[in-house]
Amino acid sequence: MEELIEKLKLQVIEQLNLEDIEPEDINAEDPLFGDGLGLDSIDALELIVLLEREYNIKIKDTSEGKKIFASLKTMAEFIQNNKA
Amino acid sequence: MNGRIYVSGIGVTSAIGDNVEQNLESLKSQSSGIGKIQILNSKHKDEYEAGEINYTNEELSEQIGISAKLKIPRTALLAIKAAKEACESAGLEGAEKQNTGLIGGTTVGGMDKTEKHYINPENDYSFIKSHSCGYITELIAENLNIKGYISTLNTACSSSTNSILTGARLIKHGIADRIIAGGFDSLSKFTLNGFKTLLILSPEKCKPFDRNRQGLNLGEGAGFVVLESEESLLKRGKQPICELTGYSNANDAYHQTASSPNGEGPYISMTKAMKLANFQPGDIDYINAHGTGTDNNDLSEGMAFKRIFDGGIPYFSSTKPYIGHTLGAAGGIEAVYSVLAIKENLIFPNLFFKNPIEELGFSPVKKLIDDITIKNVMSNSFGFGGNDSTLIFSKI
Amino acid sequence: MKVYIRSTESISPQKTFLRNEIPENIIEYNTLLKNICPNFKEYFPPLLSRRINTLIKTGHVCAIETINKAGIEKPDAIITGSGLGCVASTEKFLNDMLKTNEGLLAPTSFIQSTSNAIGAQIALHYTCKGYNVLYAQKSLSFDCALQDALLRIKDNELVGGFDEITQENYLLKQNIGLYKKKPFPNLNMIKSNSTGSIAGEGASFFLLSDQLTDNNLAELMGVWITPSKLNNSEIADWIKFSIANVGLKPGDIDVIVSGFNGDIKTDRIYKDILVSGFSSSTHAYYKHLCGEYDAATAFGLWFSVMAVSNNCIPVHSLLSDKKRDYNKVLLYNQHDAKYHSLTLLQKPKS
Repeated sequence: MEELIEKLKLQVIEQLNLEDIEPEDINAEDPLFGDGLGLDSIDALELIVLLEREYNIKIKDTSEGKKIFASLKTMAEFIQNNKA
Repeated sequence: MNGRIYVSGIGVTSAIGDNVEQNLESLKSQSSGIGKIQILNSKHKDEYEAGEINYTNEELSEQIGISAKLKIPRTALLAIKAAKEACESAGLEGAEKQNTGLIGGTTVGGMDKTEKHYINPENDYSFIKSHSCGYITELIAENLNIKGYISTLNTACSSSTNSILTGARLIKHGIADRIIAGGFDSLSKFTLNGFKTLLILSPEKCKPFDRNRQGLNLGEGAGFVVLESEESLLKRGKQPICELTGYSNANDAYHQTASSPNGEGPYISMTKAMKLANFQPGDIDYINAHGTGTDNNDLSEGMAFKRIFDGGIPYFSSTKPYIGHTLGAAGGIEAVYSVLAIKENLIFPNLFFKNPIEELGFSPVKKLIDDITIKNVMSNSFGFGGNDSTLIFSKI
Repeated sequence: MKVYIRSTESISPQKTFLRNEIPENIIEYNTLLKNICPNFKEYFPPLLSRRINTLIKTGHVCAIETINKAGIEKPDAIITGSGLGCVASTEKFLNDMLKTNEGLLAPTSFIQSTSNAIGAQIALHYTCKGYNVLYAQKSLSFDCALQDALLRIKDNELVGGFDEITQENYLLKQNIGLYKKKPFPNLNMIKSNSTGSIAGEGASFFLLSDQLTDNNLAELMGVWITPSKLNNSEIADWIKFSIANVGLKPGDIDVIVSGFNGDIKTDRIYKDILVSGFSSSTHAYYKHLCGEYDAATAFGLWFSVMAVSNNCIPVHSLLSDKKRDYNKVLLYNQHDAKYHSLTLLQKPKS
């Protein structure tokens, strides 16, 4: 799980073009949207692309994505539970 | 800066008809033109329905009398077809056409051709020139022998509404006596895939303002109105169809793509257009809404209706379930439909609608209304970048 | 009603940004002229910066400094012109789409490909809910925007023109002869004997106002546009007729700033017009500084405003110098004997 979270940090930083942010700057339980990392609705779409491309998991829309993308931890848990 | 602006001609081509007459028939018979994608060679053609026009580029070229060998972008073929009809409808010929201006509106210009040749040009590099929005307008002007002012607006989905209001202002300032104004966009892989990435394409026929709406269908087409000053009409001895009494553009200034939850931009554009026309909310008989069928637009636009018309929401509908969201062409095509609503005293239904959005609590028109006198019609188009525009047409 | 240019900024392939004069030293290029950009990190926090592409940043920063210089809180309207808009983002999405055969694609470059994104970003920054449109009519894009602003002037209007050049776009246009096929120094542009222009990019913004203040840079007397193909005699007549609208004759023009771009077909038209119609005016040019692009007349206007407000044009941009005070400056551009635009400035009277 730890390994997945660390991998996810790097992938998220790359996919969302978060220059100036290092993996150490992100806590697994911090909210990704709103407060915390401060991501927005376009980032949510990018994360959906990330999930499909890297983990072969398809999410239909951003409302489904809301709970999954609450934090890196919830993302990692979702991936573990849904990976084929 | 004074003087009234009239509409003396209209032209349109869309998924529900080749010309004004056919579009009107389809609107009256309440039959949607959204269906399977057959012409656009996209990998996703079976996943989404669209308001595609059922002619190949070769067929369109033949219809307008251009050699198919020229491989003119599909967008231009559609545009020339509709602009030609608008000119004929206004009775413009010869020198009159030459002294007429043309303002186009489009989102992706000649992209339908660019995307075919970009990776493998196969020695055909003409897409480099035909890509630009302005080039398409130029092609229309050349084809119709229009020698006056030309320009093109690109403000995403409100482009051709802005073309029309720009045309009106130029006439008021004496830059032109007549302006053919409107817009055009063909289906393209670029826009189909682009909207797909935003997850706002509906897997079924769109149902604007419905609580279970799932997004939009794309469409293609072109629509133009001929705007003319009073003096020019008198000189030509031509009767106008209706008057353009109000128009406005405002910016939502909320987000690059999403609309504000309280519909601020739409509220401002509708309010300012009514102010220009000297109208109260009660004067509007029908609103041809932007109504794309997305979660965001319909709620935002609906909230603006609530704020302005508070308790007395006029009849309204989106005609996008008929033809899809035609992007840069939407404003122009829907302006033509608004003019038809006045001319024919009709209110077109919002097809596929079932249940109102809970936060709004009101519904669009569900069936064609034909026993009514329509005096003033409002037409909305709202684009990415918070670009919100409104037109008001009135019976003379 | 008089219209003034209160302030202006330009980001270009020369050191023009945050300066108040045309630079004396020209930066040399042999192929495409690329913008010298400020440090965008000073303007955008990282979370916002990644959300907007280079052209949006360029236009946005240019607009911010124009507004700062004008000493106002925010504009009331934003009117822009761009021939091709966000080329880099369009190319990215197009290439990704074609190379993956319409595979899984990310939304950011599609969203950023919309041409009116610059105007939208500026509106967001200032919460400016006023009129906001973008004109895209090839080399008349900026001129249409400027004419619109002039016609509708009320309060403070921000007007801008911008276009970007990418390596990919440059190669394509080189291929069809729009740009020179071989390296060609920008310093030698005016002496060019070959077809194809030099290539460039840039963003220039202006704050227009109907308020007479002490720090207005220039009065905008008129903007005239015709898309028609004209022969030289027709061009001369059109120019005469246009400036006669404000009571002027060619002899009244102190400086005519022309859009020479290194393409001999276009440039010989300027030469004829200048010699036959404006022999008593100083002749200047500017595209050796910025390169040719659809919205280049925006840079031409920045250049002309600098000329009027400083009463000075460096020797490197003068074709002939009639040693007149730069009271009335006329900016003229055409493309292949079509798409003619004129902008007339004069020193603001106090």
